[in-house]
Amino acid sequence: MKRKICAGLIGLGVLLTPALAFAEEAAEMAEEAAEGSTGLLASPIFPTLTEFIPMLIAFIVVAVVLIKVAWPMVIKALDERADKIENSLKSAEQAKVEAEEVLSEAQDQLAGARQEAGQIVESGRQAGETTQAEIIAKAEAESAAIVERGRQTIAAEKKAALTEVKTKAADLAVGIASKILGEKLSPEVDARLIDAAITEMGGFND
Amino acid sequence: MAAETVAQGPLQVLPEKVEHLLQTLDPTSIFPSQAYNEHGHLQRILSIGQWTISVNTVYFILTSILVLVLVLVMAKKIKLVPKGRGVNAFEFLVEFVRNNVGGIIKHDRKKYEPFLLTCFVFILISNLIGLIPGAKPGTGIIAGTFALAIVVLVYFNAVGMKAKGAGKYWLGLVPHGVPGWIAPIIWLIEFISMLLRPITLALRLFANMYAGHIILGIFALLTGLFAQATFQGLGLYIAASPAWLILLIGLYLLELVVAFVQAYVFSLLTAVYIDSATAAH
Repeated sequence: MKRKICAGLIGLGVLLTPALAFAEEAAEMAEEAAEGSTGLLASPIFPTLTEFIPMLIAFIVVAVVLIKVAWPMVIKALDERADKIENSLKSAEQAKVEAEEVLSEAQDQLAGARQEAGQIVESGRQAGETTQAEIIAKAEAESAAIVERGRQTIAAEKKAALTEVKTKAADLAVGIASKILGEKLSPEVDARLIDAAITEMGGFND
Repeated sequence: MAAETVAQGPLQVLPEKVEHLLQTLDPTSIFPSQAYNEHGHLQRILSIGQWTISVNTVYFILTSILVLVLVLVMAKKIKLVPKGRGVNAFEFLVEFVRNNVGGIIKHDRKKYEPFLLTCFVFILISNLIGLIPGAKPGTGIIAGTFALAIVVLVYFNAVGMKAKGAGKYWLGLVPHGVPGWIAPIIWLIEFISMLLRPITLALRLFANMYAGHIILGIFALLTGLFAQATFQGLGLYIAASPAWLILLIGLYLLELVVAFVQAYVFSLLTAVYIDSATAAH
């Protein structure tokens, strides 16, 4: 370590010599420039100090103001934007994954619901069919029963009617006979009685 | 006189014209006629007592003001959601420098980005201003490029000392593993090479800008001389003038690229120097 420090000091000493020479040269050039002579072209490599110093000051001012004020604003804005975009992309990706999950869940539910609905419709249809068949069978049986009952009623009525007709015919015959036997006085009377009997029978026939 | 020169043909007149061109390109002149006074001395455009400055210095200071205003305005304009072509172009440049130039630095690169951006934007704008016909670049004069380079020299040494501590930084110029007896010599060589860095930076930028302007000037001269010869009846040259013009336009585009490349190279080397000053050996 000490050796290195020594080396540094020696180096600095050696270096000071050309630095001094440079300073002298620069001073000379400044003098020449101040005189307005051809000093500028005398040394094409090293600058004229009267030109150099104003430019140096101008650039230092620019650098200090920009480094302290402008660039931090620019860099902050750009970095914030980059972060924001990155975060937005990440959250968008996450949202997409979530949405996909929700979608597949919804799709599962939908499929389940469809199946269930199908089952419900199917069972409804079956129930309907069964009920229909039952109703038809019942209706058929009922109608058969009604027809049967009707037929029986008609038969009974017919029988009753016939019985009554027979009874009435017998009564009439008895009546007519008794009248013929009791009022055998004139042919006119007979004819009137026969007409009356016929009229009565005709009315019965109606 | 004019007829005589035309009779000689444009190529014979060229050397004389080029000499005149070089005089007009002298940084101390603002108009060709004012380049030299009656005593044959160079004139300067601004003179306050003993203190005189050249037209390039005026352009350098104008560039400084322009860069300050431009970057401050852009900094105000940058919003979370990008808007406007100007702001977009500016952001592109900033990101370009941060990624391609600042990316070289391994440690704490964010700390040094503002300085690199300042160098890049300043040199780019200065170079581009120099390409406006009639204007001169602040970077087209050796004093101007030296002003930039000296600031770079001071900056990378300062950040190096800040990062490692002054003693460690200066002794660290010698690489590890060098035998003790040879260390002073190596240290001296390293120190001198470090001092040469700003000189190479300054000369490279200056030479590129200066040479570019001479080339553009010569091609502009050729275009003009051949056009003149054509109008004065030397039909032989009728095709040559447009050809020179096309070359001139091509070279102008090339100079636009050079303006960008030199700003890039300057800030890239600055980044390399900052990296070697701050990186742990």
